[in-house]
Formats: sequence, C-alpha cells, structure tokens
Amino acid sequence: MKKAKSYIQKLISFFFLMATITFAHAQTVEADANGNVVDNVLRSNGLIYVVVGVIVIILAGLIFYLTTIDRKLSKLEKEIKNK
Amino acid sequence: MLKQLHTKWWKVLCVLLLGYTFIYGLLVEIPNVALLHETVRNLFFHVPCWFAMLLLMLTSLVYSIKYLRTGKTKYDLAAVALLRMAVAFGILGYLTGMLWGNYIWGNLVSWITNDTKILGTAIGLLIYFAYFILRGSIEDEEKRARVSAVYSIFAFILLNVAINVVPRLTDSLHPGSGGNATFTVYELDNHLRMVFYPAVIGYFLLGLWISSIIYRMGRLNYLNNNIPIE
Repeated sequence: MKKAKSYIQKLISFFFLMATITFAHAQTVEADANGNVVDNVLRSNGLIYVVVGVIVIILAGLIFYLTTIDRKLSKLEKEIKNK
Repeated sequence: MLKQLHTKWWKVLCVLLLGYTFIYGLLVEIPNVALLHETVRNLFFHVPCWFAMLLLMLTSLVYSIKYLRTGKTKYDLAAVALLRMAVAFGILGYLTGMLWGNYIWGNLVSWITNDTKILGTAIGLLIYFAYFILRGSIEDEEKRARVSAVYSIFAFILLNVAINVVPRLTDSLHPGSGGNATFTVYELDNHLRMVFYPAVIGYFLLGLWISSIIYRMGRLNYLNNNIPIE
C-alpha cells in the first residue's frame, strides 16, 4: 500500500531538488568563444552561493532524518495503541 | 497533547523559517560593524541557540508547574524532553561562541574564564546537568518526577540570574552589558532583525519538534512498562 506523501516530505524533496539543481549548476564551467569562463550565479559574489547550497543540503538532510524518525514513531504509537 | 504533537503546520513553519534563516542569513546585506565584519552574521546562528534554550526552558518550567499542580506523569515527561533539547542548544551555543570569540576577542584562554556571561552560562548549564543526574539517581517514578519538577523551578531562576542579571551588574564582553552596545545601535534599516527574529522562532520550533519526539519515546517507554501517564 502506498501512502500519500506528507507536506513535510514534499517540502523536503523540494529543498533537495533545489540543492541538486544548484549543485549540478556549480559543476558546469561555461566558456564563451574566447575561452573565458563565464560567471554563473553560483560563481558570483565570492562563491558564497556554494556555501549556501552546502548548508541547505545539510539542513535538508537533517530535517529529512527528523521526519523519518517522526513517522516511525507515529507508526510505533499506532501499533502499541492497537495492541 | 499528543494530538497537537502530530499536527504538521508548525513543523512546516519550522522548516520554512530555518530555510529562510540559513539562506537569507548568509546573503543579507549587513551593516559594516567594526571588528565583527562578516561575523555579525553569527547573530543569526549563535544567538538564537541561547534564545531557543531559554524559551525551551521556560516551556519546560510551565510543564513542571503543571505537573506539580495535577500530578500527571505526562507533564513530567514533557518537562524533561524540553530540558534535554534546551541543554543541547546550550552546548551548541557554548561551542559556537567559543569559535566566534576566539577570532573576535582573541586567545580563548584570556576570556573564557573571565567573562561574567560565559561563566554564568557555564554555571547555569552545570545546574541543569545536575538536574539530569538527580533524575537518574531516583528509582521511584513519582518521587523522581516531583523532586525534579521542584528542582527545575529553582534551576530556571538560578540560570536566569547567572545569565541575565549578573552580567548586567558587572562587566562583560557580550552586548548589552558593561556599556557594550546591542545590535540596535549598529543598524538603521532593521536588516539584522528581519533575519534574527525568524531565526529565533525557527530554532525554538526545531527544539519543540525534537523534544516532542523525545517525549513520545518516553511516553511509549512508560506505556510499555505499564506505568500510567495520565
């Protein structure tokens, strides 16, 4: 039986998606016709956006873990209640 | 109470506020503060640890008093769960403060034992460590709950005296005491506040979330051992 995703999990997958996109974006080095590296958003402002990306990934991971524990605990509570 | 712990809106709010804090907190334009420079951003990450700790302790105090009034074990469980998380935030605040202070106030040894606020927090946290040792040493559930509830009332008052009163009477490197400015002085456009207050709420909600899980675990443990909690 497949359970509908909770709001929080949807939110977290959104964060993950954003993080993955930004991370993938950071990997590409675009060069123009003269061979100069073209700055993208992540490379601007002293690369601070890369740090933001790292922090978002960590935060999303921790929150994801927390929601997993929360759900497991809910399941356990239900089992004990029905016992 | 259990029903509220299963509601989702405040957990979603927590994730949103933390996301906002951690993204916007790094990108927001900060006022040019002498000495601090970019580390003024630590206001969004280090200071909320302490604010969340105090808020969690206050919530725990409410549950301790509720326990003493009603004698329901579930309030005792809630009070402990909140305190566990509060102390965790306190330790995080201490560690982050050590790192920050090391670069702003100079050599760690010169201020960590001399600053009244840091000494106060050390004493306050030790008082709360003693709370857990006290709990661990009493076998009987009811006696344990009653003694620790009374203790936590005194502990909260003592911690507040050590953190909030004494540093203001004497001198401290921290803002707001010893003639040091608070962040209201530096900024004219409320940029710092726009991140700081959401950060405090986000940290507090995260603390509530984790302590709700600790509470539910304790509750299951009690139910499993056939100890009534209502």
